[in-house]
Amino acid sequence: VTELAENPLLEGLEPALPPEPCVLVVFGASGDLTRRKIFPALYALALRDLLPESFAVLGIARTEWADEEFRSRMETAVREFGRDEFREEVWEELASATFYVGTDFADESGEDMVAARLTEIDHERGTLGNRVYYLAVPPDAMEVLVRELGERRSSAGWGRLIVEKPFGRDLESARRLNELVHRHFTEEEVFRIDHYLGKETVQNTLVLRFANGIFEPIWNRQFIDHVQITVAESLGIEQRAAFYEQAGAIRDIFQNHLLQLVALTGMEPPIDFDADSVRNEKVKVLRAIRTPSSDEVVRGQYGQGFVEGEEVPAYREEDGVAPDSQTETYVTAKLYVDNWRWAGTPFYVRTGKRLARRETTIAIQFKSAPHLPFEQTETEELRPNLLLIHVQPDEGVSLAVGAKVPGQGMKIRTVHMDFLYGGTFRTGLPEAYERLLLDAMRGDATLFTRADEVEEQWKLVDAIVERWKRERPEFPNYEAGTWGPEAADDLIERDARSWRHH
Amino acid sequence: MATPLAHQEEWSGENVRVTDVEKALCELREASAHETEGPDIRTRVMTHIAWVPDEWHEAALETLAGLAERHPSRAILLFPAPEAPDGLDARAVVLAFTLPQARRHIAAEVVELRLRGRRGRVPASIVTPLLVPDLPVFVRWRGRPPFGAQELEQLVDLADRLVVDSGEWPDVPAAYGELAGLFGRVACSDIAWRRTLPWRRALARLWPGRLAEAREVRIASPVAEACLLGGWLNSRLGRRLELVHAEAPTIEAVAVDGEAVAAGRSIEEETTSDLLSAELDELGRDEVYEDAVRASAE
Repeated sequence: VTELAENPLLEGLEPALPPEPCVLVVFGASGDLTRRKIFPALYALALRDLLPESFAVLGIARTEWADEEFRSRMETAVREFGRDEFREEVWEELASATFYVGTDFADESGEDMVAARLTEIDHERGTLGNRVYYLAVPPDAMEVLVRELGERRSSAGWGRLIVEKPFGRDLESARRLNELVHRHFTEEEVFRIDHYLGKETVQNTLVLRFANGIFEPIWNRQFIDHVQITVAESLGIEQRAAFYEQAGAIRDIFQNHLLQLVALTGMEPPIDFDADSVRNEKVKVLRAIRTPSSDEVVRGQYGQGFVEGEEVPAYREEDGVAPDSQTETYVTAKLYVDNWRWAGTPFYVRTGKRLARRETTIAIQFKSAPHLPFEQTETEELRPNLLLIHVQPDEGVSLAVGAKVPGQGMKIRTVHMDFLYGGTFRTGLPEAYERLLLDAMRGDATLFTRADEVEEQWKLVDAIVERWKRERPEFPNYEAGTWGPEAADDLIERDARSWRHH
Repeated sequence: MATPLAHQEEWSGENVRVTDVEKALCELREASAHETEGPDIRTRVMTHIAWVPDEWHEAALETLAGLAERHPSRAILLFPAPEAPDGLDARAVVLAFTLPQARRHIAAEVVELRLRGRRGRVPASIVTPLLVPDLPVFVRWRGRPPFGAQELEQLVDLADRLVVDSGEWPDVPAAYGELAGLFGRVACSDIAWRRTLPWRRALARLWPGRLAEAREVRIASPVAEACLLGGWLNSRLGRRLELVHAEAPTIEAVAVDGEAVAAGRSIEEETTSDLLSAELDELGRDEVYEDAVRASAE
């Protein structure tokens, strides 16, 4: 705001606050995330002239590469995974600001090398000692990095920390990591990524709720029968067996993406879109979630099956997975948010791998009309009103309403009114990482998870996992390419409801 | 973003009434819905009216060709033919585009109306029945608007936003004074202003540095863009800089106190369709633009 007031030329130009000069320091730069997400996002920002004028990227990983080798690999990545056409001159500009140090940051000499390179970059590119540290590393490497970075923090410029999920592996480790982080960085300097929050459609959930007058009055227990949130993947674990065996679906997706979607769906209207206003409301929802009883949670693991016509192996047959693995690849839960708005209204949430299709949806099912002045035969095809927020794919919103079938007499059936992002806004949707990287460079933490949110999420997960330790599930219990175990159907059907399957 | 045209349904007629056009549109929509799994999606964000005098006919059709798929709207092209005998000729087209990753099409509607004779003096009564209810109305006026003329006045009263390209006008900056007279009545966009965007971004990055004390700005560009950039600098900085203009077909160079400004990058290809498309995404009044226009008219 200060800069806007000082620079009269910025008024009306987007973004109003361009990022200040800085170096983006990526730890884990030889990894998949850097290749698939970070560099394509940086290229998209460069193409749109959204990066700071004085800017550099320093990649750090153990692999021994020279700057040129790193640049060449990142160029290939941008060509493969970028959403825009490749423009040589844009890439050249970004590449000339891209550097790499092959070292183990955990040892003293590695730290010295990195520090020396950063000083050089500051000198050459005018980045003023400002740093955005991106920790694209496994959770077990985070503590060392945070400690070393913190201890070497210089007083020149500002420092921000982007931390990839998962943040810890349980409440205790998350608290420990938070304490460590807060020893060296203030909460305003920490950006915990849950990339779902960077998705346009997820942000549109807030717009749908709080920019429209018609939904909020009925967005409560009086009018909503239940909520279904689905994060379904048709993919298996790809090459992530080592991580997934430790994490399972509950830590990989449920703890973060699913619970964030619950929070966004259930939160009270914030007073503004300020980082703390939004996160204050989200954390209240997370705190209000009652720990589900054992019959309100179902876990599963996929067996062999067919996905999109291809035969796929069982989870236990995947490379790197123990043949008797007890890791869940599916989890569903019936959650209650115990507050005035939601008391008694269940949120059925589910996530899984190797399900029938890739889909992330928030489905708000409204209560049926209290009285239908029609014959029963006329309304046999009428279903309750449903508001569907398609997070991916087919991004958009649909509202299911009853409509008269044209013709003599009265026949009523359910039809969908669709708003498809692709059909209305004919520009490509930005990738979540573009938005999040830019926000972190600008210091806006609205779309990042705060320490207390992460801890609340872990509290719930720990309570579920603790109970699982006392049981031995019979895995596998669902076929790949289906919608999960039968017990998941039982969970919802006991309440005389059913899962949406398309 | 080139999206394949899946199919096109068409109707035309001479000496027709507006109700004939409405009826034809309904029939075309029904006819266009037969191929896919559901009816074509009629998501529309606006009614886009274009006032196209004869000399702009070809250019307008070219712009529209690249636009329909990006702004699924109802486009109404008005071709005034004041010398012809009174009457209304019409052509209506429903264009169905394939929606990536979906098995459905999105439909855009294009209505071309030839307003013969006195019909061209009363366009509001002809287009009002064809407006999409409750959605914003954009009027793109090709060429220099005849400020004060009845046809312009009527369409301004109908519009939420008037889109012009002052680069098409022969008499800037003088005409900016007349345009400024409309600001209180309708939100205005100018495609020439859009073309200055990368340069405004580049100049904003110089603040305070070279700009705080700058005295002169040299701009090699078409005259409209130079006037708008100069007006923008004057209005934002709150003082007058000397504007030295050299004619060029596009904005080729900007220099502050003799020192060249590095060009800002624009992602858009900057075809006329791209530029108009960007303007159609704006809804509210652009007060920064209005100030720049007033300042350049002074």
